[in-house]
Amino acid sequence: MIEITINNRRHNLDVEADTPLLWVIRDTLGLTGTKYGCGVGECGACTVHMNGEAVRSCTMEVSDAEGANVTTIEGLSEDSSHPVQQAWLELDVPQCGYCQSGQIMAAAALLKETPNPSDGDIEDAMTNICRCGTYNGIRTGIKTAAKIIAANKGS
Amino acid sequence: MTVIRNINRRHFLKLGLAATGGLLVGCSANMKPMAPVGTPGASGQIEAWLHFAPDGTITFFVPASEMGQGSETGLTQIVADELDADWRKMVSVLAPYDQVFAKPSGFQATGGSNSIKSFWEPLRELGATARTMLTEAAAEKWQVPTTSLRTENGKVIHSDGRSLTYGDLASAAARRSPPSSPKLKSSSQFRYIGKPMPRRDTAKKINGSARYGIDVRLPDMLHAAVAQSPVFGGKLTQFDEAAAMASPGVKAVVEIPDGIAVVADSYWRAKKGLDALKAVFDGGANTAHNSKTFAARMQASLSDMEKEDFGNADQVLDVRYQVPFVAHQPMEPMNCTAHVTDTFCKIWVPTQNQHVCGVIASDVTGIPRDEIEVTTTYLGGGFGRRLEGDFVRQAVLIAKAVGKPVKVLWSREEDMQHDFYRPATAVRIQVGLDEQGRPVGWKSKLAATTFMQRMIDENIPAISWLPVMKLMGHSTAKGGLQKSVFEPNPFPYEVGDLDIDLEVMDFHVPCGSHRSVQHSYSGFYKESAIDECAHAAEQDPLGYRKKLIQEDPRYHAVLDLAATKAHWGKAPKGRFQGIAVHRSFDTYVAEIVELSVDREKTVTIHKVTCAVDCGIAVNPNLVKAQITGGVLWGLDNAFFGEISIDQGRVEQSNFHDYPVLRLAQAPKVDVHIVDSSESPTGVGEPGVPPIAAAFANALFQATGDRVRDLPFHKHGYSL
Repeated sequence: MIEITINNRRHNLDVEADTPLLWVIRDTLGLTGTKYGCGVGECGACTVHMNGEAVRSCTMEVSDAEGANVTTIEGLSEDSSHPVQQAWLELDVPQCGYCQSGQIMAAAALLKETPNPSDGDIEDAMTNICRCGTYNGIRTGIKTAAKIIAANKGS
Repeated sequence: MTVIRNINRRHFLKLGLAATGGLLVGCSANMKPMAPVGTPGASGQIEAWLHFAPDGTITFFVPASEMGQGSETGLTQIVADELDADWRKMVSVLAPYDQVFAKPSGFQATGGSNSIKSFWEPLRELGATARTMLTEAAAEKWQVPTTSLRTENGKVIHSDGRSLTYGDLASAAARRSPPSSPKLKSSSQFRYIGKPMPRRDTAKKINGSARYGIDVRLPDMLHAAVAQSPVFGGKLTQFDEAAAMASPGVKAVVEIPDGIAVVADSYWRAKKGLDALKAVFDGGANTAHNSKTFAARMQASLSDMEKEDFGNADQVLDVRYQVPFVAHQPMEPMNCTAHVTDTFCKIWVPTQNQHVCGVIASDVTGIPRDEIEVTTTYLGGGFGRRLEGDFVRQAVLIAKAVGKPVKVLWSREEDMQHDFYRPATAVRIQVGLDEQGRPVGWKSKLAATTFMQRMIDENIPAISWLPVMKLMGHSTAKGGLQKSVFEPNPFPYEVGDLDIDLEVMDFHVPCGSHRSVQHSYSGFYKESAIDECAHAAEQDPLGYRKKLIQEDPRYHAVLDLAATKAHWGKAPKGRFQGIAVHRSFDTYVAEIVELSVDREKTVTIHKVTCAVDCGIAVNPNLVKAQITGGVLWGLDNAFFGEISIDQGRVEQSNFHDYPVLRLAQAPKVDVHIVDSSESPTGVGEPGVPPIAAAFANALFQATGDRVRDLPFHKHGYSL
């Protein structure tokens, strides 16, 4: 049995220890917002937060997440109210949308660390692949989210 | 509140009518509005496109797959506009597989950048039909002439101010006959068309609730992982079934065409079982093929072309270009879920091609096509890959074998190595120029693989909407392709004698529709070569193009708009511009790349400026998103894209060895739309064709290096 905490819920799971965290999240727990894209940590579609940091769950064995606090897109906010989600909605960032859970989780982790990121910060942090070509929207969306965060702090 | 549900036809008819009553407006298979379908079971042959519930909700069955292009939003705008509906009361539901949702071409499929174009008139007629019936119902109720009534925001309003909602009128309207020729709005009356209405799918795509094919979960569902012959056309020779079955959770091993599947109670366990299976394939004769031999054969074909002197031409340009195979790689790997019994076949799939799903499922199960149930989920990208039905066949075969619902999911490696690639092609272009630098003749020969014949053989009408297929209707595959080299423009430049030849190359690598299809290379070839002509003539590439395009002012409009917005000819010091223009899918796009290059051959693209004429832009934001996406897709393909073949198989396997464009490399793209009152045309693909040439032309200005052989990165350039 492996005990992990996902979106503040504790689970005791009977899965092989080498199962990637991604497949536990998707198949065992049914949280399908986190996506499979490459299985080798290249594309970032599977990005989740582990103790607040963005990690690629497809290359992490579930046993390595034992005891950690994992957040998926479903747990980022209860009502899509995270500043990154608000910015994404305002700008209609997604096209097909498949990569966007990962993009949003990566962006949220970036903003937590760097509340007012430069273009260079965004380029370094946002290595997730989008095939539809929403990169311009993602860049603008992160800057919009940064403004929302700043406004929230000011109020 | 928008709700997307995927429900099958019988389910809808039963629920929609029995539970809520109201007005249903349907279309016959030839898409003439047929209404009303006011009573349950009025006709089993008529399918509802619109359902007006008494509570005012209007459900619209969206007849195109949503793969990010925004058809769910754009098509809803068209019908809601003619309806004078309240946008907030519109509910869009992806249509089930049913012939009544077929395009005028006769097939239910999404591709060819033609969803808005195909449904523009039918949806307007549909909306106007319903609006007229609702208005007549109000007139009857109030005993007033219809001329005293108007419609607005989901209501019929009398000149004295009283009003009834569409929900109030739905049942009464359902008893009326549809008008024979409903009056359409004039463009000045449009309320939603032409406006940047918010996407209807965004809310679901920011919190993980949007459902893609990979997310399908059914009771008792099993998961399948597959291995296919790495060499195309190879055969399975050996596997260790006992080892796979001994792996935890494995339920079955099933052979499929050119491969094998392991079925387990979770995807990861299926994949582990597949590893244990140790499948061995024999590539057969195809192992003799590789990219070098393909290139040599294409070049030999081009060398057979006679050297031209064009009579008294002052200069003769004789150049060769080539492009490699390129993969699609949408972010969602291929997948399909199927449940097959003796009496039914149900499929849940992210597909661009419901028609092909029906054909294949019927072929495998023997169940008639019109009884096959296909639920289309959201697509995690399509780009033409999901016009194919190979993964659907696998899912139906495996589900039939195990008797339970099965979700087949490909690994990225399977996806990369079993794509239907953009064909590798090569072209030789000879152009004669007179003393003024004007072309006096253009002769070219293309050596290209073809997938037209495969699609015909496999009964895949995926590309039936392309003009090339119309040509093929009275021509051979070769003849059709021959004309398609620079089709369906038609060739825009006045170049004197135009002679375009083709040799079809028979390579064993599967090819298919790849965002913009033949335009992805014909745009690069045509717009690079004409740029070379302009430089040979020592003329401005923009002015030269305009001088050679006399017939069609829409080319001039996009060229001028792009040039104005990009400040053509006025690039800051150290920056260089390149231009290209191409018409595809009836849409005109001009693109200008502004870049600089350092000594290490690192290219910085400062911006890409696009001008697009797509007729009426139904949703300007969606148009801009699609053109931007097309530019980045085309840039990705041209800069990095190369699938190479060695010993008959694809060498690349995942994103570590098949690099794709990432955010840090993606330039700013500005899109400007030509104001137009023409009927709308497609935007999903037309952003792609000009970009490779616009980039190559700018690179030439910056470096003097004319890159004629893609991708750019193999010439030492980086982004």
